[in-house]
Amino acid sequence: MPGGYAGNVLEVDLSTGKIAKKPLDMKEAQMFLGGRGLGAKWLWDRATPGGSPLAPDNPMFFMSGPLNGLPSPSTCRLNIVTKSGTTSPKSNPNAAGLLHTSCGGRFTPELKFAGYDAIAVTGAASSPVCLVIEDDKVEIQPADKYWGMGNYQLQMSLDEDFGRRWRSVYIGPAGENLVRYANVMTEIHRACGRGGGGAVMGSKKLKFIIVKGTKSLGIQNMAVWKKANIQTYKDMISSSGGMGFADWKRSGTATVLASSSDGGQTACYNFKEGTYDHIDETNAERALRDLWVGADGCFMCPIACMHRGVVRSGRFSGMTHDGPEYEGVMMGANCGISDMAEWQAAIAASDDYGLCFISMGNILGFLMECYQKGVITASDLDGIDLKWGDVDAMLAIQKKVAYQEGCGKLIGQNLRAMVEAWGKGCDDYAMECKGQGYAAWNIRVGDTHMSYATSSRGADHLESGNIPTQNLRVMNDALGVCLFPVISGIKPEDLCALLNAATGFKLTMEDYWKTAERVYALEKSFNLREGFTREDDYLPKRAWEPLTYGPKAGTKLTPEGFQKELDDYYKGRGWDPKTGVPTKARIKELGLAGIV
Amino acid sequence: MFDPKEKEKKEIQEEESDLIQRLKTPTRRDFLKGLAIGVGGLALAPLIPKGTTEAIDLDYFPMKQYSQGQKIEGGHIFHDYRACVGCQTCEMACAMANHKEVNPSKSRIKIYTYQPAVFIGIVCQQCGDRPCINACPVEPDAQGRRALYESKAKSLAVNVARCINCGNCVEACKSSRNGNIYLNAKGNPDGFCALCNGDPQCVKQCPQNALTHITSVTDGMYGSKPADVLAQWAIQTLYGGPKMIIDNWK
Repeated sequence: MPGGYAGNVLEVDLSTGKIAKKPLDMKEAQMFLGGRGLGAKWLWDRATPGGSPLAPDNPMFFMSGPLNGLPSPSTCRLNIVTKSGTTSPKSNPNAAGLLHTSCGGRFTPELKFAGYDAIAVTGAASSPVCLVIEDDKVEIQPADKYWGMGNYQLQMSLDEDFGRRWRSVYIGPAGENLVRYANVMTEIHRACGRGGGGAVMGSKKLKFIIVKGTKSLGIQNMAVWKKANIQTYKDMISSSGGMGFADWKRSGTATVLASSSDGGQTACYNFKEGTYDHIDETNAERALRDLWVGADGCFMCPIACMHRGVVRSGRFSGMTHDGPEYEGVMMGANCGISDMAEWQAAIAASDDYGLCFISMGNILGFLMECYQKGVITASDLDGIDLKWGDVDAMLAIQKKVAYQEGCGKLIGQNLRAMVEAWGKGCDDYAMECKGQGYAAWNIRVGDTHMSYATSSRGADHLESGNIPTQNLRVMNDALGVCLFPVISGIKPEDLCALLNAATGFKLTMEDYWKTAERVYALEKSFNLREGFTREDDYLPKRAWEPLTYGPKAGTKLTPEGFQKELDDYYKGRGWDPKTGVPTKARIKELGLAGIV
Repeated sequence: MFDPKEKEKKEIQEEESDLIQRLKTPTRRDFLKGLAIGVGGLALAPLIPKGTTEAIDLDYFPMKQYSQGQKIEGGHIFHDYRACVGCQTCEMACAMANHKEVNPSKSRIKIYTYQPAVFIGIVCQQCGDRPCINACPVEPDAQGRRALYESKAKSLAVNVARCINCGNCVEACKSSRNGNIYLNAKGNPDGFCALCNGDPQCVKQCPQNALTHITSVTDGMYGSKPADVLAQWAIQTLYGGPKMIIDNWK
């Protein structure tokens, strides 16, 4: 047993029902580590170039990282790597980009305790199935009983039928009905969001994977590990200031709701503004006082940024939810919602259907603006009067999308499909890149626009707009450690030391960053193979409109400035600035020669 | 290579000797600096943010005797479902300390999740009336000990040599208390808490202060409820009754 890794990969072919347990290729693991990195390598090797994401030959990898399940902070992340249901190059709407998507919770540690580093799911079943893993016993079982269930009901049923120490990932009705931005979910509220992982799982007729493990993980050098671990905890706990440990622990990502609005960085009214006029009613302090009953932590996480809440009064009285979190802004400020309970209802609906509330909120904001500007009328929306901030209309649209009824069929695709269907200049309001909708950070202030433009999975707020931070995030996803403790103080040196102690690798910091570059170059190469070009790294037209309200009024981006930034970015990566293709010398330097 | 099967304590203890020293004679300042150290398999700093430490310490932490360098004889571990976030750090601490394995399934404290989200910790409550010991059919020896007995440290212990693997203790705990005892692969009772010789690692490492080592024991009827019952209470306390994500909008 190699330290850190469990050492096995579970191969599941749903078409034939064959299950195989294979040893993990440690050479490959050392090169790409795990999670997002190793997943990208496998997808490069096994995906059909130009193939559809919903075709049975699209492999879906549920990846853990070498630190998952080990006793250091927040070693909880699940990474799913597959072909994206959402992104496609402008030149070829049938091709698809790479999707890496992650969530916290308790699934991946449990998977490693069952003895597996990853599950590779291929093929597609003919009727609904589930995958049940109990240590060495792995079975594909019929799941007709669970098909159609919302996430809340499904989690309750799984708790009852299997037990309260089984961990699962699943899809809701949205995934079953192949909505292109459906999530893979766990524990009701935690989501592998963006990019339609749920639709890929739905196309395989795989309702859920449930796992229980009783095995041990190894640590190569316990003495070194302990030293590194103490240092890691110290770095995290001693952080202070804005978004230090104490802030994260108190309110999670909701902490920045107010500061982001003040800085002109919030997505308001379909990204028209960066400062929200109702932020006083919809911020973390309000949630602390009125909504939250406690926190909800992932495996080994001392921060526990997610909260448990219940609405105590008003028409949604009694509804449980997990919000607000910062990205909830997409359902709040972006749609003009100013009531805390209504906001949570809109998010809870998405969580129960298994929709990505970031993408859904983006699309709802787009629809509301189109409706206001007369691009579409109520007849395009099956009679729904979609005004800014109307929560009933939002819930109605979400239901139609999740069950693919009426107008939901078109809305359940992506912004590009709607722009194509409706025209009339509505592409001016479509906030997307590569087909993926924008998330809750506005783009005129800071370098977030570079994150949206250059990320491999389409418009993505988590990548960050500069190369060093992007590399940091790649390593988080590859190791299986959450991003938030790293923001709150854990240093990359700590993670590298933990990795070396656990696995016995001897990575220097130089190797560490090179691994990140390697993964990034591989992801880029994958997208290039699918037909993406420099023209697919673009900003929507709204970026050139100035903000009109708040402290940052007047701020905007310019096309010339952006093109220059893009040139610099490619150069910094060692890619050809004209085309964005990694140069041959760079590929060789990163050890990808013979692979790419 | 850290091999879970090789349970040698020697190396680990040497490694931590100066830390253990500090634990045994800690100053208050040491604690406030956030340097309380795990003794078992793993050492974690207590997870309290700087700046707020003192405030928490004053009104809540006196219950955590280790912070003042004292060990508690006997007592039991109390789990607060209002504070628990279900992170399983306690399970990891227990498995590392008592089994020297990275394997939460071997933990003697177990966190169960219920919906709407509540986390229920089940751990031996060291019931004063010890229904498990009373159910043991093995004849008491010269010291009055059955196969299952109360140790000098006033925690539950088992004499494996005398155990006849009948499972009566498991039945007794399951039927009248919280059911934390089970028979392990060798057929001996396992899963109960030995209180880590007066210095429980789970309590020490809980980042949310959801665990407390309380000095007294009850007769078990109050604290030692099964997880299902505690979950109902927790849902009543936190949410005002069983609520649903879909309440009122579907």
